[in-house]
Amino acid sequence: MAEILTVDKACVYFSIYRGFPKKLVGQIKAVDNINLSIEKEETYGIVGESGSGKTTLAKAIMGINPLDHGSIYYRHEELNELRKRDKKFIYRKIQYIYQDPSSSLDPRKSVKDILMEPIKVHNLYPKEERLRVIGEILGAVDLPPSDFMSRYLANLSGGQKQRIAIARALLLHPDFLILDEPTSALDVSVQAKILELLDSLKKRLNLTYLVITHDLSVISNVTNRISIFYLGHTMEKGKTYDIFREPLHPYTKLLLSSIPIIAESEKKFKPSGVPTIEGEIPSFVNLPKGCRFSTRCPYVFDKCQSLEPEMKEVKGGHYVACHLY
Amino acid sequence: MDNRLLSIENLKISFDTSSGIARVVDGVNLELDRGEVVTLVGETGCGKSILLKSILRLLATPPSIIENRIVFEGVDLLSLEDSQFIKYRGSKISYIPQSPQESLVPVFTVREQFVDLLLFRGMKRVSRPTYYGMRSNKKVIGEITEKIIKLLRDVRISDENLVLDYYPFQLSGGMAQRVLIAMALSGNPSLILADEPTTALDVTIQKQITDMINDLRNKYKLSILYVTHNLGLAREISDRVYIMYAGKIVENGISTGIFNNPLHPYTKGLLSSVPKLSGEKFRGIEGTIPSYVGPPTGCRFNPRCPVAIKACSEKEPTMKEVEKNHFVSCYAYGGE
Repeated sequence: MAEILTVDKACVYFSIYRGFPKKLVGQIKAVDNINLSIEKEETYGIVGESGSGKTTLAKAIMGINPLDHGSIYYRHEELNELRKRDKKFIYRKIQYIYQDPSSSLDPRKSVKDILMEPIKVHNLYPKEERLRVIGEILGAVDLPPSDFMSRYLANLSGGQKQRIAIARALLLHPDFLILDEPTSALDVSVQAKILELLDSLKKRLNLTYLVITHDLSVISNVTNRISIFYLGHTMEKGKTYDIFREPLHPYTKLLLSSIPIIAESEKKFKPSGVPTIEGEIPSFVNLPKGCRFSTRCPYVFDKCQSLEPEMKEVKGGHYVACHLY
Repeated sequence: MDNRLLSIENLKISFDTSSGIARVVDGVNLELDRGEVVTLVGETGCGKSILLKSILRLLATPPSIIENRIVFEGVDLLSLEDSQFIKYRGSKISYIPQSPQESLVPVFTVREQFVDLLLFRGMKRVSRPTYYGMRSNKKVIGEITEKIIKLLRDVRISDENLVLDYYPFQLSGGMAQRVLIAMALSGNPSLILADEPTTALDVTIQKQITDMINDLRNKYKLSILYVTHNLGLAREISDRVYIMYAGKIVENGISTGIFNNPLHPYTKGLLSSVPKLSGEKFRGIEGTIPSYVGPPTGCRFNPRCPVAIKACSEKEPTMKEVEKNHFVSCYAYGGE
């Protein structure tokens, strides 16, 4: 299958300055040497704890965070080397749905104005047709246009706001959508509805999704392939099915064993015998030497603390960065 | 000794708003025995947090109107004067809030916040000279610091001497939550009200915190009323579960009973909405939670219910014991 988006050795660094005059005292390597390739019409997932660089990478794809090294290709075009005019065109095809719809949509605009904005910016459709287009897109996300066109955010529920955010992204006919924690602000009953909607839209419009989330049970159900992030590094990547059935990296095992489940029958899908560990994700400023997970890893040995493990292919399409393999 | 620690009897909380009276909690009955962990599960806006706050008297009256009884250790908390109630809040009943980082004062260190809490708990007003006098008494502070260190070790903070002089922004989310749990434990409470203490945290940290709460519960013989919307978590930590919808309890019982054999259509809907690891199909519940000003008549779930009959919209079904220790309020199971 054709690749739609390729991330090649991407690095995003943030500098820390202190004192007067400003002095560079350190760098935060929020995204460090990440490789990804997303195929057409698949759903790719990025999983990780907060502070693992998931959102930073997504913003780098959108061009919000500039890359320090490496490159990102969309349909074999280098995004950073595009001219401004081409960039505007390409970013119609890549759309980003932000984490929390209540804070990423303008509370002082009506739904109609929120949806009108991208159309105006890109100067699409003749003026008299624009309202009809907005009505259609609202219908596509299951909101009756007559009812919602002139409402404000304050009068919408969390699920409805998320639907507006999806509608806004779809207006420009994208083929690649980045969903940043699409359901973390929602209740489970609403979450299921939104995921259902996203799935049906994907099939109908032939979309490709990049889903970023920390909710493992969601990711196990909606994605084809996933990458597990930890402190700006990929720890493990491969087919979702393979990783959930047979997690290799100790961090993945830990993550999977921490999911609370609702029935005894689900227990067999979690790795067993994983020792619970103490300690939290270390800070970016003083990263542990060697493997980044070595401070929390139950299977740590000498080599882990001195040498950073390389990404290795263990089985067909299942990669892991760990000295155990 | 009486084993019943807390019993809430027909509690009603309403708010006088400009568009009418909003009945946010409407006739809730809830019981909690000593040493028990009870979870209250429901969607956003179903009145869970309001219920907790009413127990601690954290709701301003007016605009809120609280009716009927909250009995704690045989005393009706609602009939107490404010001056008597101070003895309960923070010492016999304590509270773990939802967002750890926002619940600590950003301009004081952990030590200062603990000292203020331990020195002045239960006092209504302290004059400035007494305040500074007590805070600068080295002997008292020394004793208190020892106590704080012991508490911090209880909540498994490893470098407790360092953490003492940290400001809240220097703490990670999990660490801040541990500090707050230590604060909640400082008054030797018999009841802890936990308001979604792990929602803001990652799964691995969530597991650490819930494991720790479980250990502390055995060590200090605590009873915990735990509010959450995470069903998986509720199943793993609790002895009994109350399912709440739009200000009413729709189903309650021992946790294995509820999760293995859910009865109320709302509980079934909630459980089927959770994405499963087995890849089983999940679906949501149609519609949204109703407005509290003029809620649906009869059973409040009837407009969203897939199996609603005519009687559902006319009269509210009563709570009925369907199995042993498993109560449900629904016409489908013989509610009247």
